[in-house]
Amino acid sequence: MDTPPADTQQGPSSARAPSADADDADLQSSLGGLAGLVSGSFSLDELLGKVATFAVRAIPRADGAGVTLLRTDAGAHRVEALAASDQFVADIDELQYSTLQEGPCITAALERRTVRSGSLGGEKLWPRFGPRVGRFGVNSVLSLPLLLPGEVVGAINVYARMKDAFDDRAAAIGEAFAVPAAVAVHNAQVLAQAVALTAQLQTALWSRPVIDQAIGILRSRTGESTDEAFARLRMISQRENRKLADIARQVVDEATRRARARGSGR
Amino acid sequence: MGLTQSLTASLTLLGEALDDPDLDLPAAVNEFAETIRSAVGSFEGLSLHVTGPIGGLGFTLMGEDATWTGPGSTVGASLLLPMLPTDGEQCSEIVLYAANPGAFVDLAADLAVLTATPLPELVLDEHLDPDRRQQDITEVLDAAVIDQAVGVLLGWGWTPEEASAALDDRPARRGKDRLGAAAELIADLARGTGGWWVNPPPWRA
Repeated sequence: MDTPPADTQQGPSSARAPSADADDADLQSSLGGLAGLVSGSFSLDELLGKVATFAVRAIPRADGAGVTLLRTDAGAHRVEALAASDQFVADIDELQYSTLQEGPCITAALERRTVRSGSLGGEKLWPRFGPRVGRFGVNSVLSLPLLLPGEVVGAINVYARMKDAFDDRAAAIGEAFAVPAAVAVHNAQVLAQAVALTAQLQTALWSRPVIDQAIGILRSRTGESTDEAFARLRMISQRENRKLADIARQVVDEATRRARARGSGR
Repeated sequence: MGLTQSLTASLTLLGEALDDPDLDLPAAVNEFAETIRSAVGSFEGLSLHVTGPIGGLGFTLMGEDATWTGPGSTVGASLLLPMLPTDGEQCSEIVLYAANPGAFVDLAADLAVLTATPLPELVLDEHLDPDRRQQDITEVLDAAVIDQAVGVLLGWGWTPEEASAALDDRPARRGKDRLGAAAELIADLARGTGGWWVNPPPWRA
């Protein structure tokens, strides 16, 4: 397998091939797309999907691409989010991350360098991944780490059906694309986490009071402890497949109805 | 980023109210802080205010171990993120702090694009003095005791209005506040001595 150092780049040539100009145009168009991900807000998954699509457009001879966000946990990388431009990419990345935990993206992320192969079927670096991907009809891969200062935040996997699809120029284009892509996807992750955290806290703030009242009702009737009463509510919630807050609301409403009925003498 | 004991307990209590037993809210807060730290090298801390009943929840975390360095500390940049309102009235908001001036310019620009939000609504560098009072919060824990006490009274046949009035009247006569009265009731319940509280309100015929 040819795995040149990540900083290998082709310098400018005095006689550029027409395809080089077309490649540049594709790259610029894709970088422009990255910069202009507007027209409404995007979820993190949607944004990752668009980055994958732009990557296919930017990198010559690519047939599909996947973008993965990784989180480092006790020295190991775990997948935080991922998206693919095409179903076959999603299938291959599932194989890599879930089934085999081996593959070019994992290598690129761990070693923080561009990784490529032109013949996955016979690839020795990934003895289980390579042959299985070959059965998808995919022969070439280019994996690019998404890097922030001092940290790997994810990777882009680019796949092609033809053998030896990704040369030095394709790797250089991929690396140029990966720089702004890393910032874009990471900032999208900041936003996604901010939205999720505030939504969770807001929901919890509105739900907790009725849950505590329901705990009090159960305790007054059964003599259970707080933990026991809470466990009972949670068990009912799981058994009936209803939200915990809804169960609690039902308990409180019933107790209130009875109290009002007693108070009115009915 | 270190969370205080009361904040950890409050976040854990709130997390239990969500239908996700795998969710660890204290860990989620730390994870969020680490994600920002990856994007902004001089990140110092954050304040978060979430709207909710009785004022909502607000806290500030600064530094690796949540120690507050006080006025004149190293905050050189800030970014306020208004979060989408869910109650139609108020936004929750997050304020990020960093040591280096201009640290949030790029992040603000990207977030404005991602959310189609006009850039001026992401307020830069107007919160350079984080509220040091928000290091320790107890409101969530206190509210849980009061709400549980209300529930106990509901279970004994009190209406919500009677329960609320009793928690206000009784402490006024015995020199306790509402929280003290609620805690006393819960303690009596645990001892099996509901006492005065067990019977229906005395003003009922």
